[in-house]
Amino acid sequence: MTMLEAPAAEPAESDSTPSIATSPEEAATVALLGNPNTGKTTLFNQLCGLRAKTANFPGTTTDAQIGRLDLKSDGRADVDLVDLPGTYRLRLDLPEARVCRDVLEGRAPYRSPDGAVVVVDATNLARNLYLVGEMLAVGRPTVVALNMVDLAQRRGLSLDTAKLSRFLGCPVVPVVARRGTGVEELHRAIAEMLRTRQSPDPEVPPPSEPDFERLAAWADEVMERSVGGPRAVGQGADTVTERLDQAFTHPLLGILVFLAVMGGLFWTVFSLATVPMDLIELTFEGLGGWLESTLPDGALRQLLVEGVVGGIAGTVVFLPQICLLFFLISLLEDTGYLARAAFVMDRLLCRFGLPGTAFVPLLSSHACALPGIMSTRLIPDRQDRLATILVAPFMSCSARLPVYVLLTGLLFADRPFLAGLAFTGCYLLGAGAALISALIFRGTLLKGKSRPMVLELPTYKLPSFKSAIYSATHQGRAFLETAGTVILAICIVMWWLSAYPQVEPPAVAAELAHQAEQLEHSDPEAAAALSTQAQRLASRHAQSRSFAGRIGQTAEPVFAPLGYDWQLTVGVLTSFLAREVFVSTMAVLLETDPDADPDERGVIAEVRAARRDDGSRLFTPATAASCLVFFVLAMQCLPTLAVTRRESGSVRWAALQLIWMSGLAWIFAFVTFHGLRMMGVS
Amino acid sequence: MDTRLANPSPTVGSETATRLTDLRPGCRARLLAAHLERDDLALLHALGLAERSSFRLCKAGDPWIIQVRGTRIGLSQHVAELLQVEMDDGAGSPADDHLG
Repeated sequence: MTMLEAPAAEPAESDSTPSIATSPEEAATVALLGNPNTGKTTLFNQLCGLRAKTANFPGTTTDAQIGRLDLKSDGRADVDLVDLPGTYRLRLDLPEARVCRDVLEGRAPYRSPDGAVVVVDATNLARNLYLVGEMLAVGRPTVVALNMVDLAQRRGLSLDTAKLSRFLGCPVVPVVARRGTGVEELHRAIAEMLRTRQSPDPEVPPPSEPDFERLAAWADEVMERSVGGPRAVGQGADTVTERLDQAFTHPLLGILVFLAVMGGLFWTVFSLATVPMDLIELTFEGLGGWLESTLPDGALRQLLVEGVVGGIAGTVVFLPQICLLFFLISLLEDTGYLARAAFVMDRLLCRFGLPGTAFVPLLSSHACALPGIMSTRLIPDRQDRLATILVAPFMSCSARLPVYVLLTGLLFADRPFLAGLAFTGCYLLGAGAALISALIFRGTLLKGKSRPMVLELPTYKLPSFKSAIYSATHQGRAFLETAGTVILAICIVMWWLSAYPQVEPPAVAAELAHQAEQLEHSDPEAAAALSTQAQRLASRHAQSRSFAGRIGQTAEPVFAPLGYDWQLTVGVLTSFLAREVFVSTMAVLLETDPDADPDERGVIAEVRAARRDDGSRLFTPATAASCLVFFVLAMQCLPTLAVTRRESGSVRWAALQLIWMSGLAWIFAFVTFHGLRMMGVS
Repeated sequence: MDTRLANPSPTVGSETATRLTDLRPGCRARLLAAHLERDDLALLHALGLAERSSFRLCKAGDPWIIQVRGTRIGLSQHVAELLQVEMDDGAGSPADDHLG
């Protein structure tokens, strides 16, 4: 059992003695804490590798990594290492600091850790000592990991770790987390800490009261006596850093650099992810085909092929994009550039109540809202984070592209310039709706402005590829866990609704199938055409009689004011599974116009020729435009709702997102349809 | 926990007091008062910028960048306008960086 899984009834601890004795069956737990940007997560990855799992701290949406430390070579059983959120101090009134305090003090539902490792930045020791001082005051057995000692040495700082250890009253281990230097020594120090269970005994005791001035004075004294005083650390101007900061935060140059970096990032994600995405699609197609040929015809085969394999394939196909995006974001974050970019975007986003740090989630959502929402973890303030989660799906994701292609193709068939303009307009409409919605949310439910930006600008450094790989792996695993549980369940339900009750094919389809059989040997081409037509008629009939079809017919009055008939309503409803389903649903549902030009092939041609039950054209320009606007704004992605629920910690936010986006989509589609009709375009 | 709000110190009204946004890049100054929300003030403190802390202004204009010892801090225009400072002649002791 880890401390995060401890029962809620567990009493809080106030003394320094661990509350639960470690038995051979139960792994000891060690908390890992440190300031942001100290290389804490890189050190965690070095210590635990891929033997880590992601969890949420109970009652919060704060991410927790729990890793397994292998201390067998040091004569100890395995140890759970809990990576606490980065915080500058324990006594801050911020969610991250609250989680750290609750865990370290063993407040329910947490179990007290058996010890702690505090990661400090050797190049910025004075400020990092505030957290160490607070930790020492808690009284838990502690080890200090002095990270980035290589950078400190390059800056001419001579750190006497033995002296520092004596003043702090606990082991101080110099490490270079990025290269893995000192990790073995840290392992040994942790094993020794767990063996002796000795509370720190500092020669220079930190203040017991949480008073900043006294804590600062204590840090100064430690610095004075161990490394020659606070002025020994990083006082001078670093011209390279100064110049880079000037460029990256410049009102014009900063934006150009930002556009180049983000353009490069998304180009890389889109272009490199294509190959593994194609491979995943092929694999699932192969799996579906194999199941189809192996299993006997029936409900089980349909469930596995169409419900499970089809549903999971539609979600898992985005895994390469997600992993690649998080890999690149981790690299960028490591370099120190992201903090500067946040300021560039803050100038625009703060006008709409969003923080500058929201730019990564919003841009990521152009690939897919799932990684976009997952990356809101970068945003420290909860209100800011919720506002970003709520509006991120407005960004035009790649799943909307097939729908945009279909509908702009219908609107501007032989006018590619206008089709291109409409395409761009869709992106702008989505982004505009996101910003306006954020402004509305910040003025109502999430009252308040975005937190004014006060951000540490970390030292520029080379990124750690190993850490980026771990980050991508963790995020990919978290995504697959959602895909394998909530999303799978949703896919099965949606499949069932569109496949049941099963009905006999209509007589005309049976007749066509019969004719196809007769022509199979004499005219195989005609037979194939007849067979396809028979299948389409049968599918159309089955869809219209299915629960989803009936729901579509029942819901038709809701969508009729937008210009939709029951077929289009079914297309809209089934695309709640995933937007791209709209194109295939329309291809199945719509009956080809017998008068259509036989040379004009493809889904666009078929959809353009589609007729309503009264024989009139389904897709008039007004209907097509209304449908396009609806798809830009509507929340039609159940996996996104599942991720919103998980990341926001409540189903209420997911429900609000669904209602808000769908409501807005309906209103704008209504205005578009009737506005165009009033202008004579219908 | 820090519960202090951003109350102006007695020196704020003195002739030497000025706003951070009136400084030029490269000069050193001391923080006199920060008229910020409690959370933002606590964050500034945790980053090492408290009342009487000495710092160097690295970049003027949004974002304003200051350096407090080894920490570079970016401040949005809104925050920078709420910081009252005085020029630092550099005569203080190391401990003055925090305590004055």
